Amino acid sequence: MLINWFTVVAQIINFLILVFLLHRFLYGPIVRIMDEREETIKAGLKEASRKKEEARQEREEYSRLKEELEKQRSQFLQKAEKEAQSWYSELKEKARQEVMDLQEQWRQDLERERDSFLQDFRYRAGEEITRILKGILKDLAGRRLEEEMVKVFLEKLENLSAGERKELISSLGPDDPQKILIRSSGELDEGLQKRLKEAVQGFLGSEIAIEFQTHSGIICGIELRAGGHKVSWNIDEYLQSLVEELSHLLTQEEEARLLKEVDDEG
Amino acid sequence: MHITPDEIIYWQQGPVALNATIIYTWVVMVIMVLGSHLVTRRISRDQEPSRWQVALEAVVDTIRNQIREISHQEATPYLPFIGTLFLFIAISNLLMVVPGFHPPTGSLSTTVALALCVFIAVPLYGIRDKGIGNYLRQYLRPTPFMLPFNVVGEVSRTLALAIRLFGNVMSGTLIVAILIGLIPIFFPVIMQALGLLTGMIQAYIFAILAMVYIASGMREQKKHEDKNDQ
Repeated sequence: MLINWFTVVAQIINFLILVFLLHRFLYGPIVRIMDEREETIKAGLKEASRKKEEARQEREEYSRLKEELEKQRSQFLQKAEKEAQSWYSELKEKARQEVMDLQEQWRQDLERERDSFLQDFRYRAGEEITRILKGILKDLAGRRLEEEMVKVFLEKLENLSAGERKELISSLGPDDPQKILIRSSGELDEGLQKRLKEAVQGFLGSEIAIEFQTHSGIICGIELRAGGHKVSWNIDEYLQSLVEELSHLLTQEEEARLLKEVDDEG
Repeated sequence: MHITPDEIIYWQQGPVALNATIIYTWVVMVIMVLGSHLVTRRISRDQEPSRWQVALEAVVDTIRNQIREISHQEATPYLPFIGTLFLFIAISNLLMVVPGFHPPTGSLSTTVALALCVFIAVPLYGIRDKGIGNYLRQYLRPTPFMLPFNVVGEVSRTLALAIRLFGNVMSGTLIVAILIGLIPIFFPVIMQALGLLTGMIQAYIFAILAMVYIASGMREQKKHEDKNDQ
């Protein structure tokens, strides 16, 4: 007999015990773990899907923001460009104005310097001409310049018109006659002073006090001052002509130089 | 030479006899339970699974998939029964290559015991699922005259289940034993290898047929209920 019924029963019991034990130690934990893992993976996938959707939405949001920023940037750039252009024009105008101001100032300075130079020239030229004239007169005619000056001055005084003479006399005042001031470029000796004094007193017809002074402002000449009137002779008008000629030459030279500079810059 | 390990008796007291079948069944049981316990005692969802755990998971998952494919139902209720049938038979057959080991599946008593378990499990699963009345009614279909044939069919297929497994394992063991006597070198090794293959196939066939028997009754019930619904 191949079937041992005790063994059959024992094996049934053994098998049932094995089913229970394997259910307890194998299938239970393994299936539980597999199910949990599956749940975890499902949850992970769901989470990933949700995050993907969120990321997609964020990406769209960022794209929109980027476009908006780009638009704003473009607007800002245009505005800045306009402002810069305006600023540039303003600065250019300001700079041009400053240059013109500087140019004007420079021109004024130049004119002032020229005037100063001409004044100085006039004075020095007067002194030099006086010295030369003194030498020439002495060498050629054995005369003194002062004497000739007094002579010419007195001739001029004699030749005054009646109206001018009247004005001169009336300016001295009838009751309290003022003294007459005679100024010369150089010191007059006593003889010349006496001659002038007599001539003036004779010309005015009264014993009027006369004071003699030297004055550096008078260039080679004599000047009579009475009240508000003045009678004078000097070489100033000759020098004036010389200075005008020199000024004209300087102006021509300056204009030529300016034109050349403008051509060079151009 | 013993045809069945039942004949190897280690201890006997009256009708109670501890034979090789029972002893080696315990050995297989200890190996299976201890191995499972060692692998699953520190199992955790968060930890990285060990190789043994992955292997066990693969085995269990394969069994579940097979059950699902056959029954078209959730595998969890059938897994302990079908899985244990497969693993017990497979491991018993695999250990056949160990010298001195007598596979319990080579005993007709064991295969009969397993077949009886299937024989009882089929109505139990059916009754649990659909109730006793519905289950018993299927023996009367298509007509009550078919009742004896249905019962005979049920018994004969259980008998066939037991004899098939016993015959295959016993024959394999016997062939190797005989061949060792005739051609002691090389050839028995090939037969042993073939025996392993046969053993695995038998385990698979036994478990699959058990599942088919359990599922077929339930499918018939479902078909019948579907017709009533229509």
